[in-house]
Amino acid sequence: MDAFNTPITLPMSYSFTSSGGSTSSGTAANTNINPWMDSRIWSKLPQRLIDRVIAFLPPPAFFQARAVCKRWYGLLFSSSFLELYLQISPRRHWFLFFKHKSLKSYIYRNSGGGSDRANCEGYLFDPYSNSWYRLSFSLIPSGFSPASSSGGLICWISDEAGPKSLFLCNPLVGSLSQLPPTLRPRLFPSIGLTVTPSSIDVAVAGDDLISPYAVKNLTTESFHIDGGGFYSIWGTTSSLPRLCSLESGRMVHVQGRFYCMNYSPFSVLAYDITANNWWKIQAPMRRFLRSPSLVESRGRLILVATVEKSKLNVPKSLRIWGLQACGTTWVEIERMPQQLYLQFAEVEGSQGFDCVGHGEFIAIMIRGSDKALLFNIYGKTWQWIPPCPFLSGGGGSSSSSGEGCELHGFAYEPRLATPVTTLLDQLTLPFQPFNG
Amino acid sequence: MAFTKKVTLKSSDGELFIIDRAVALQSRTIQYVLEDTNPVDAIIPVPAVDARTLSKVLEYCKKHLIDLNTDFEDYSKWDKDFVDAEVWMLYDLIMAADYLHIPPLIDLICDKIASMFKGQTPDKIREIFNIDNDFSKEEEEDFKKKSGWAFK
Repeated sequence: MDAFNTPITLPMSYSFTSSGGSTSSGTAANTNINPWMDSRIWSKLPQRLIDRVIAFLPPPAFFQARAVCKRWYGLLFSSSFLELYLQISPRRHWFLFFKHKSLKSYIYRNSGGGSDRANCEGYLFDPYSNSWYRLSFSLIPSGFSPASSSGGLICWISDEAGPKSLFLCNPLVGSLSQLPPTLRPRLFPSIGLTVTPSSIDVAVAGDDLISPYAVKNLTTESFHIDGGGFYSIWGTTSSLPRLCSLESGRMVHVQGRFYCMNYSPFSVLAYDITANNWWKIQAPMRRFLRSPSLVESRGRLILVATVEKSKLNVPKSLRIWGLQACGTTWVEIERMPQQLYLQFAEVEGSQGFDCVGHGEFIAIMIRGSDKALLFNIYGKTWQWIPPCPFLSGGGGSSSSSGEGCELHGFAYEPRLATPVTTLLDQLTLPFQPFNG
Repeated sequence: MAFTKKVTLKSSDGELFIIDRAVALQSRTIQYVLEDTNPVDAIIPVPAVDARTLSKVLEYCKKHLIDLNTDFEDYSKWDKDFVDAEVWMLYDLIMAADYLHIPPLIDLICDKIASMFKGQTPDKIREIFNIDNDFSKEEEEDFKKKSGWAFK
């Protein structure tokens, strides 16, 4: 695949870590002479160990391998295999992107034949091998948008103002579970989601459309269910600090708390799930930030933003801060190399950008384009993400073609099984099935 | 007191390995033998593993015992180098780790084998593991349609 024909001209020095780029073509060439493929060795491997090897395959390779024989095909439905898989499969810090639903794309869509399938596919990105995969979300009814992701599940929320309907979807196995609708009507709430092997927590925050005047009434309602038999269906509510503006629609989960960015002026809003209370945290250099985003990385809250001090003699830059254990102070962890920042700023052109973090990676997506950078916190390396080959008729060679296919990204851990959703089945039974 | 004791293992080809009891205890198989029979200075035979493989397995056990303070990064680097071995060695190692029941070593090698065959076509994988294709043509087509995303 020629996913690496980046329209951006970049000096190779900035693809430091693009190990996948070179190896993927390298291995392809080597396979014919690879001595490891000797069937005299591997055909002796006991089935038990072969199953264990299969459990270590990344999901796309697993789905390919299912084509080998009926027994391998059936592993996806074998509870003993899935149990083993959930136990030993390494966590993969991948990303899932969607085409951004902007007002502009609605107009494009209406003029361009009215195909409403823009959200019916997602683009899975494996940052370890720089590979893209296209996933179908055809099960999702129209009028829903992806809002959050956790534990192998994507949360979709209804677009229409009113009580919100939510779905949790595992796109790899095509499963779809519905949550009971929220109790309060809302327009564009921010969604927090955290899924563990035995619990699901969702927080919906924003204006609840209750005030008859044009006054914002900012509240949260929370959903919880766990394997211990405890559940709360939107029963927990709390008010947000006054005068907040949560326009990003995003919440980030870090160790029992949801965080979201508050705008004008910038600050960070924190919500403790068990204590059910909100508070404000001051943002670093808040008067000089542009396009701040919150991301989670290795159990820490991270803030990414560009800094523009017009009066001072500080060069513009993109900086990354980590919130310290005390919960109030930030420490700068990294600054984008100046040379790369100049390239970035040129592509970005003050349109702004959004960030999403997963494990050691932070993806920085430039608004109004399909260009994105990937920062590796372990290796302190930066690289441009190879363009998604499924967007805008292959690669977007002209400068204008990037428009209208802006990417909206989520941290996504691909999982062959998400048994936690069975907890929802007992809840959704009394509710009407959704007629999409 | 038990931790300072030595244990002697005897490989299939008769070589003796005198090691710390704590190193040997990482193998659950040996752990059971020691718990059951409590042999004092006796020799524990490991009939399924030859000397070359056993010494490699013990190298792993020693590393993962001594360096409990080593951070994750260092371990993963060491582990990566450890499994960067000849194919027959990987096979012997996984069989030995399975026989001796050392789950972290089994998983380390499984991960390595998975990374080697993840790019292969179903045809190639059948050849490697000597598996018959029991799908009909229709089933194969249907499968490709459903899981086509993974074949990109």
